[in-house]
Amino acid sequence: MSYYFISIGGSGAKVMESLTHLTACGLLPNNFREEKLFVMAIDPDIGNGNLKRSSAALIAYNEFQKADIGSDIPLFKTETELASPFIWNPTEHDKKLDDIMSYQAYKGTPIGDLYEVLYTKDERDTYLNEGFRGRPSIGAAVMAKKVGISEEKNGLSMADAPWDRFVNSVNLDVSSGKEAKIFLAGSVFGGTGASGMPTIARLLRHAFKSYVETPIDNRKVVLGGAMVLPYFSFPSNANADTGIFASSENFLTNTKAALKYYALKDVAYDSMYFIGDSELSSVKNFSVGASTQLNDAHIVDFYGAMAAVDFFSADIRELKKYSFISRSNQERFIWSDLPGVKMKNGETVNVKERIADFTRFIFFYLHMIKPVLKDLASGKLSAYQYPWYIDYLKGVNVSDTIVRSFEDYAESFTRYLWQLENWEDKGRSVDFVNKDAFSVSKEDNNEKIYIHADEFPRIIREEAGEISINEVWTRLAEKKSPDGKGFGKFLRALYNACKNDRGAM
Amino acid sequence: MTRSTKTIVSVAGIVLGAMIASLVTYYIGESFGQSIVAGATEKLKLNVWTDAYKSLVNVMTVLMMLIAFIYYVMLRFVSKVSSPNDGGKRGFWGIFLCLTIVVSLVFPFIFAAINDDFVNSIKISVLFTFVYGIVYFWLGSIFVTPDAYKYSPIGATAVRK
Repeated sequence: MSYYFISIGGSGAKVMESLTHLTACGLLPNNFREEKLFVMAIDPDIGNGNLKRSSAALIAYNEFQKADIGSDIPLFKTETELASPFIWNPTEHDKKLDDIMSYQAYKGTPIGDLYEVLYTKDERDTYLNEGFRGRPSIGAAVMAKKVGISEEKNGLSMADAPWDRFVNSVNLDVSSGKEAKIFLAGSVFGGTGASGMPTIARLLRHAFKSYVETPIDNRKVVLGGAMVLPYFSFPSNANADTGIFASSENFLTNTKAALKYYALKDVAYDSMYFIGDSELSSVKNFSVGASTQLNDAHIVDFYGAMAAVDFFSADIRELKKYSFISRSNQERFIWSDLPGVKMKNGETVNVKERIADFTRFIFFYLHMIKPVLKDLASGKLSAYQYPWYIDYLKGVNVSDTIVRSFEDYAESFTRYLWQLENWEDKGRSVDFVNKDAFSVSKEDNNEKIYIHADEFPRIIREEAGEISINEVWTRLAEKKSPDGKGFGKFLRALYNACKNDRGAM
Repeated sequence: MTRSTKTIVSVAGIVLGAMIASLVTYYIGESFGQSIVAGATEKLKLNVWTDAYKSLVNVMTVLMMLIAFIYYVMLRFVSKVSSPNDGGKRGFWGIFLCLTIVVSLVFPFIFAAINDDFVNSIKISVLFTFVYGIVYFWLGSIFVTPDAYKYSPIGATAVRK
């Protein structure tokens, strides 16, 4: 196992969602199933809508990756492993800061007095079920206490279960001669991310002291981080009766303090990516946390995930402390803004090509396969109409978890793309995919996805050549799997049929 | 095999199949000539009937090849799949099969009506139906139906799977 990703707070979860999709596209640098991506989420607000959505995509991926897809294909080439429990909650349920810091034990002592000076009564009395409410000082104290590094067990260990497993996994990598790249993502301006990003990195650095203090040429463990800078704001009057809460008015002040910290202190990161926006997008529905904190995907999340991909693909000896990226058009984010990804086999992969093939693959599945698959399996539809069904799926159980997980994932990818493409702010937009090619609309509290067949050949912006639904259908019918039937084999064949490779005709 | 090669092979198959079908129908049908001519007017000679029959076979072959070409071209170049229900053209295939059977059964009688040198028999119509309708079109379509609709002909699932 080589890649470790830790999402911290809501912004980290959104980066995790983007990273899940980039991983599914095959943009992590590893050779087919050679390395795993270990993922863990840190959030005291485990019901956070952003975290729920991004976890759902990842958990679905984690399930359907079991499908036997064969080898040597970019699709799903990186196996994921989720921490157990996947979401580490540093505060536990219905706990206040006083409970976590054992205030009653120190009350009246100099330590207790100092504690009272550092934290207001409101801060100490607020339940932390919905996060640290934009107070990094609360989060930093809680995390430092709860992660609880000990150096007793085999030199390195951490107290809580997911950390123990995490540390063991890194140790295993190093002892087997593999590199372990650990990447953290979170905001620097809110509560959980701002407190977790420096604290967790510092704790990890301490935990892997013997590894990270090795000269960079022989280093096996490195730490990277995507520090998400402010990119959204919400109305200041949207907080009545919510107790203490994150306020977007404080974002810039918090960020200034955080950046000063990262600039002046000996930070724990070997490589840092600062990603934000000069304009703050308005969040219409303010929420202090929980399931209602559900914000649409944003280009900043996408860049956060690209930062993780860049970090994972970089040669340890060539890691940069800070990286820079620019874009060519002020109004539009376009494919040519994205750098290529260097794969482990030396090949440099074009991000557009991978995402384009994958998008076609997902859209075709949702439009042409999903609507009929169950009816075909139950015999309601005649199989002769669907050559792909007879060639790959007849007799295969299409009601199992793998198929359902894939379909859930396909829908979450499409919703993600829809949100990303429909982000428009102050005259700026994302222009990767043709918005006319699909739509997501709310009907009876359900989100319905429509793929518009006429626009299918032009799904991807700035792409030479057109691949119609008919073309994919025909390609799928032309080539039969040499390895027999199965859902994985079918996905492989479909993905290959969706590749923009005119030589295949 | 690339798609273009497959197209060339399919077109060649349609032509070659028609030629073989014409040879088979000619030689088998010719053997019915004696009995057909014996039952007809005294004026009709076997060699005259045979010449007329040869013309019928030629016309039938061209007609059947034309039907097969239209079927192939429609599925290969005209028909497109853009929604899940667009796949499978068994109805379309059925229409063409019926067309070949109807033409095989009826056309020899029409040919006899317009040609004094030819007398038809139900045996000839049955032979045409079997060779052109069943063997040439049905079996042929199993092999040459474009991949996108490859299981549309009845029986194709067993052969092309």
